[in-house]
Amino acid sequence: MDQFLLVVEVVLRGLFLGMLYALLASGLSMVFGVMRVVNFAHGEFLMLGGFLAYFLWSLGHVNPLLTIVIVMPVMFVAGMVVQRLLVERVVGKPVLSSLLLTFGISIVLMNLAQYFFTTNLRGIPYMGEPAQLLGASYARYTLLSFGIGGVLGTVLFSFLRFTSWGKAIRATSQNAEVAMACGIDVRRVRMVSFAVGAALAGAAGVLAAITSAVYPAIGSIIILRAFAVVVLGGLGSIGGALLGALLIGVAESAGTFYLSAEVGQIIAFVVLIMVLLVRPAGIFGARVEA
Amino acid sequence: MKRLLALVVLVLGILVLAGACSEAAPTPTSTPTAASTSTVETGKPIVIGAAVSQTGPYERAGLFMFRGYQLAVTTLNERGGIQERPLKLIVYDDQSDPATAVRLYQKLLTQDKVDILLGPYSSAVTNATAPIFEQAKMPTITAMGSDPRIWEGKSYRWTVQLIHSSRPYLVGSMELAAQHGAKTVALVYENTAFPIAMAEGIRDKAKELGMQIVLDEAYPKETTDFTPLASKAKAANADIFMGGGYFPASVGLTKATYAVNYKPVLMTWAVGPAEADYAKSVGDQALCVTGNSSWLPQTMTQGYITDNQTFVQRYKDLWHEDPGYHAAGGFGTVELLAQTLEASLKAKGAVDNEFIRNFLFTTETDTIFGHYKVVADGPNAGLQTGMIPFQIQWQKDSLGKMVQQVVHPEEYATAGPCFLR
Amino acid sequence: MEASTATTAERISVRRRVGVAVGVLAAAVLLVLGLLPSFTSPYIVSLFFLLYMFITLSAGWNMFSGYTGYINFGYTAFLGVGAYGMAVLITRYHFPWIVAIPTASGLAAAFALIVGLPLLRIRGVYFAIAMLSLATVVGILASTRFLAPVTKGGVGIPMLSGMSLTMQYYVMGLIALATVLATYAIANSRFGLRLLSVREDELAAQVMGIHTGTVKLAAFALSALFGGAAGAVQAAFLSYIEPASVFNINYTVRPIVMALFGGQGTVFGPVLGAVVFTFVAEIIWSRFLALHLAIFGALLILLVLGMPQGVIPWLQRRSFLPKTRKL
Repeated sequence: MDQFLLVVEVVLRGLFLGMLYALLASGLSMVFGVMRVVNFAHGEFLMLGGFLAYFLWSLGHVNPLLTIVIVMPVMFVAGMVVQRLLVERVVGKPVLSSLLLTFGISIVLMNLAQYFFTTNLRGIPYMGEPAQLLGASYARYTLLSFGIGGVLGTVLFSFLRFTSWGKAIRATSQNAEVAMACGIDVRRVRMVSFAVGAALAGAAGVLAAITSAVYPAIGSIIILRAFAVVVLGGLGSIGGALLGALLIGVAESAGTFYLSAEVGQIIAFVVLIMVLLVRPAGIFGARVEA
Repeated sequence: MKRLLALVVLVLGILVLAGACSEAAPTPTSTPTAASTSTVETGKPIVIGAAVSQTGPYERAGLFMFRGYQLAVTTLNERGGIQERPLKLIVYDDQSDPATAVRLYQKLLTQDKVDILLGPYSSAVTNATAPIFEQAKMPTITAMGSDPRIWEGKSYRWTVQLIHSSRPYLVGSMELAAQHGAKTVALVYENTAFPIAMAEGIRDKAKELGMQIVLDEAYPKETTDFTPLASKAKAANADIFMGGGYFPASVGLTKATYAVNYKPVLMTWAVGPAEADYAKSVGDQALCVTGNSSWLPQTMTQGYITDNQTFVQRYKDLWHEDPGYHAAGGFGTVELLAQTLEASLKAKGAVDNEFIRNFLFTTETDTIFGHYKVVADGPNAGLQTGMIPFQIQWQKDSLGKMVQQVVHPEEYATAGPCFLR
Repeated sequence: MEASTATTAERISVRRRVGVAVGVLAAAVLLVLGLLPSFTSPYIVSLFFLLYMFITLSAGWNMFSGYTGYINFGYTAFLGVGAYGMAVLITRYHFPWIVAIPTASGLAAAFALIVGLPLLRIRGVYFAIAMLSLATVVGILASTRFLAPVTKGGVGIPMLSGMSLTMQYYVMGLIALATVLATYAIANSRFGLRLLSVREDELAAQVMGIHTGTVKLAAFALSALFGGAAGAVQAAFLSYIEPASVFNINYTVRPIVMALFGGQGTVFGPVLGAVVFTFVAEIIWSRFLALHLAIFGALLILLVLGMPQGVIPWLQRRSFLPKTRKL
């Protein structure tokens, strides 16, 4: 029984971790779906969201949870600007163009953050007290961030499924040309998708500031894991990204707990490469031509 | 075609503009406090060269060390230099990259033809540059290379270590916990050079104190989620949860320990607890957490240039913040250098590398940074053995505010240790 | 009729003269570079060493990715394998450097053959991410206890290669030259044509009877050979290596940016890119200190948006340079 509870605990911790990856990965996947661009700068949206939350909390004395309400719209607008000014221009260009462009955006944002915010760590101590659940204890902020992640995930799903914008995004993702022929303004769809992705990454940043801390380089570290998640689920498939995120979260948690921290860190990438070997376009992914 | 031209013009414009700005804006090398602007006119200047990380992962720590260099050189020049010879400091940015640092030291040695060098920041960069110092037969004091392996078994003749080695980083906290009855240790550490050496020191100390290490695990530097490690330490039911690596890990490990509701007797992390930001990031969870601090502002150390209090005051006046140990280390390095330079100028009338080398390897002295004594010869020559690291701990003062107290060694302690259980 | 033959002859003779001039110029440059260590300081020598390393990396990356269109976003893995190969061969097996460098390069190529066999089936952006993940995994693995018996884990390996800086300079220079010559040979061979056919339409190439798998694998391994050689000499230059200093995304991105700037899939594009970026970087970066990464990023953005083809193809289109063959 104890052993069973321990397994439950390890899996739950993995799911909690996975939710953070899911917030990041769903946006990344959506962006790829509608514009076929791999966004290296996605991690920096998380970083900026985290910093914004930290400063709202420390300077503006805003409740850490409420910062989400400010961070998400701000990141939405930031995403729109970055998309319209820069990323839109590499849509339909070779893979390398979009990789290097977004890599460039990523290091510009990181370096500016270093310059203006310094390399100090910024963490928000909030809801650190433990709470009991299924025979183990979890910090309240863990449960909280899982809840927020769940709510945002549900909202995203409903948005995609039931609203006309969501349908336009899905249609563009499936076939941009046909979508265009059906009268969908794919340029605006691309902009909105990118902005929604940035807003979700910003929300993930708020949670990262609460559950650990943010610093300028955090985006470049976490983006590699997000890539693994997205490719695992299949680029462009948001459901796949969610599933992949939870799977990687559990694998990392269990790998670290039962084997070692070193295994835990490698496991995401090994799983990724394995999956690609068996299914070269991820589990739910569509085949993409170079 | 037109668009392209416009773009090229734009790029050039930005570059020119940025170039102009960079010249207008004071780079760290030419701030008013820099030595070069306050040179004394008598005597030929002694040119000192260094490569310091001013960008990249080590930029902050590197910047602080550089300020220590600057302040010390400025102070010396205000007093008329060393034996009436002013000092001139040439500093380049190594971008936290060992390969760049190697090239910059070559530039300092052969292009700028400096008289003497100061060391770079970090163990990784020191490791790569020490062979350059050795090859050039240039006596060099390295402020912040704490990895003992830089020296061990190398029989270096020209490079000495100023900061204590990373092995004894946290052993003081173990002694305190042992007195409190702690018997078991959960050790987790980043698998890079400095934490690995620290872990070796912890293992040796555990053996000495009769403690049992119930968890001994390295984690890659890419790790961001520490809860599974905290779960493991909890499952092993260790009395002490310790180790870590750099700052993010200390915050992550502290938060994770509370997240899994694990209550060890003592938590102690290598880098982080000594900094004020730590308590800001984790809040009340900082309570009773200990960490290493190589240097403290309140100790009564006395160096060649000045005493610790004066250093702290002048630093605050210039930069409006408290100095940390990186700055003190930089300052102490120049103190030691100044002492050897003076001895050399007195004895030989010149900057004599061989004389300075012998002085550095055999002299026992003090800087504001602490005691200085290195292994004189043999395979470990140059390794610092005279300095004892402090252990600090976060405690609540009478007003309930979180403050840092020194808890080890006893003669410097400002408060007794506290424990979580 | 007569007039036109005259023009052709004239054209040929002009071409020949241009050819001679280029040849003389190239010989002069090579002579100066060859004598460089005898009249400049070690700092300048090490700067040119850096240039040669980036020429090797950029041309080496281009050799596979520029010609096949498969974006290798984990090129640093080969550099890392070469560097570690060199360090282990010298410190543990006491190889002389002259043997250790080719052996380490061979190890990198062998590594590429092993990982390329499965990975080269993956296409497009998935391949880029798979390579990025591979480089990340190998970098982490080198620091873990699984590989620590060989790599010494995070402790790193200090080594004395026995190569002087001058020797490192010449060896890296020769490797860079070899990389460029190899690219030239490939560009003008049937093999090169097959690589291009993979880039343009892999399926059509297969249908025409080209063993695209073999062709890709060969180019991949060759590209790794040169990357590994650069890593091996870089290890000698550093005299101390640890995972983070050789498995570094900079060694992937910078060479790609250089190749992109000069022109991917061209022989001299990567060389041009390496020259411009190494020297511009040295001059400009040192002035911007805290913001040099942002400047690099901004240049990268402008490059991608403004001149995605690269300088050499741009000049070729405007007939400033002779056209190279295309499919």
